[in-house]
Amino acid sequence: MGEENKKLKIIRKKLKVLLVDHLSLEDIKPEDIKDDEILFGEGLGLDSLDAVEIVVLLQRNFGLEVKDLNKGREIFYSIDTLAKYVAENMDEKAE
Amino acid sequence: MNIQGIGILSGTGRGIKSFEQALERGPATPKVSMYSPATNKEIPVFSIDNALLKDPLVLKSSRRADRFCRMAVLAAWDALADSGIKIREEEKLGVIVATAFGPHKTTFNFLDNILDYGDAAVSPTIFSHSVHNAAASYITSALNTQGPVSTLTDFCFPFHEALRLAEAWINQGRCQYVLIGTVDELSPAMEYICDQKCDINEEGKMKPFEFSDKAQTVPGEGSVFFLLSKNEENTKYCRIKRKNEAAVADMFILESDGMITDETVYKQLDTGDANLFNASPIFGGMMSSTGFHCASAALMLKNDRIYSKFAQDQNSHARNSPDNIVSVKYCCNRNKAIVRLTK
Repeated sequence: MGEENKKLKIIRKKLKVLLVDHLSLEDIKPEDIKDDEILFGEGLGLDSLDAVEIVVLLQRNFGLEVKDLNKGREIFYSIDTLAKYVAENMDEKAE
Repeated sequence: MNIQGIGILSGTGRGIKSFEQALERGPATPKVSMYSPATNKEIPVFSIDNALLKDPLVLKSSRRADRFCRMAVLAAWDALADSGIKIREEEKLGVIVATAFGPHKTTFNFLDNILDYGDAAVSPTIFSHSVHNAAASYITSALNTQGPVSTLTDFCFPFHEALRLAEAWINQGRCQYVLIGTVDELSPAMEYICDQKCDINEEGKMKPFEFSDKAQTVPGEGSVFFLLSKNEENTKYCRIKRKNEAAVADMFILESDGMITDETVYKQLDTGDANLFNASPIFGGMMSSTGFHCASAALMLKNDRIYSKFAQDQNSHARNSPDNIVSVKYCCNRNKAIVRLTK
C-alpha cells in the first residue's frame, strides 16, 4: 500500500509539471494545483482544447490512449483521478 | 492612406513612446545570444524581453499564443489604442499581417514533435499555431473585428505587399480602416541562419551608410502595426503610399541593415540632395523591417524634426525638417520597393 501511494505521489507531481508546461498555464506553479481540484470549468479553468492536449500528454508520457470521451470526463476530473488512471493503466515501459 | 495610429514592439520596448525615446537616445546596445549551446558561439541580437510579452488585459484570451502571435497582438492592439478611434461595426476594420518567415519557431517545434513522438502524438495546439495565419486570428479575436483578414508572407517585401492590399481594400470599400503590420521573431534556428548567411557584426554595431559589398548586420525581431484610414480624412501622423519609383524626397530612408550582403546598390541614393536615414541600430536587421522604418518616418513627419543620431548628415540643423520621406528597400536580386510618407 505504501509503495502504491509513493507511486501515485510521483505520478501526481509529474502530471502537475506536465500540465503547467504544456498547457501554458501562466502564473501557476505545479505546486499550486491541488490534488483534488477540479481541472475543467470552475476549477483550474481548463477547456476542451486542453482536454485534447491532455490526451496527447498521456499518450506521449505514459503510453496511454483515452478514446472513450465519457470515460475521459471521469478520468480528467482532477489530478487525483488522472493519477489513479495512469497508475492503473500505465505501460510498464513508460514508467 | 493616412496613418492614424502606431503600435510597436521591438528590442527597445513596447509602444510608440518607447520607440520615440529610443530614436532620441541613439544606437542601442544589443543583447547576447548563444543560439546553440553545442557550439558555444555567442552573437549579438536585438531581441525582445519575454516580460514584455505578458499583458493580462490584452492577452486575456490568448493563453496559448506563442511568441510570434503575442508580438503581433500587442502591436496591433497598441496601434488601435494609439489612434484613439472607436471604429463602428459598420465601418469595418480589416487586418493584414505581413511576415517574412512566419511563426517558424513553432513550425520547427511541430516538426520536432513529429520526429520525437510520431504524427499521432503531435500537440494539436502546436499544429494550430504553426500556420502563418494564427497571429491574424488572435488579433481579430482580441479586437473583435468583423472586416476582412489576410496574412501575407513574402521574403523580400512583405510590408509593401500588405500596403498594396490595404489600399485595394479601402478603395473597394471593403473596409474603412485597416490594421496593417509586420511581425518576425528570432529563434535559435533564425540566429543560426543569420550566422551562416549574413555577416554578423560581433561588436553589435550596424553601419548602414557604409554601402559595403560585405555588409554586416545584427539580427532583430519585433512587430509594428499601423491603423490606416482613407486619404480624405485628417491624419494623426502622415500619409503613406506604396510607390514603384522614388520621386524627389527631403529624406531617403535606406533599409540597408545588412540582411542582404551587397549594399553598394544603396550608394546611388547618396547624391547629397536629400538627407539619408536609417534607424536599424535600435531594432536590428530584419527582412520585414520596412514597418519600423516607416514608424520612424511617421514620427519625424508628425513631430516636424529629424532624429539626427540616425541621419547620415548628423548636422541636421543644416537641413530642413522633412515634408516627405521615401523609404527604399532593395532585395538580394536588386529588386526594389518604395514607400512614400508625406505630411
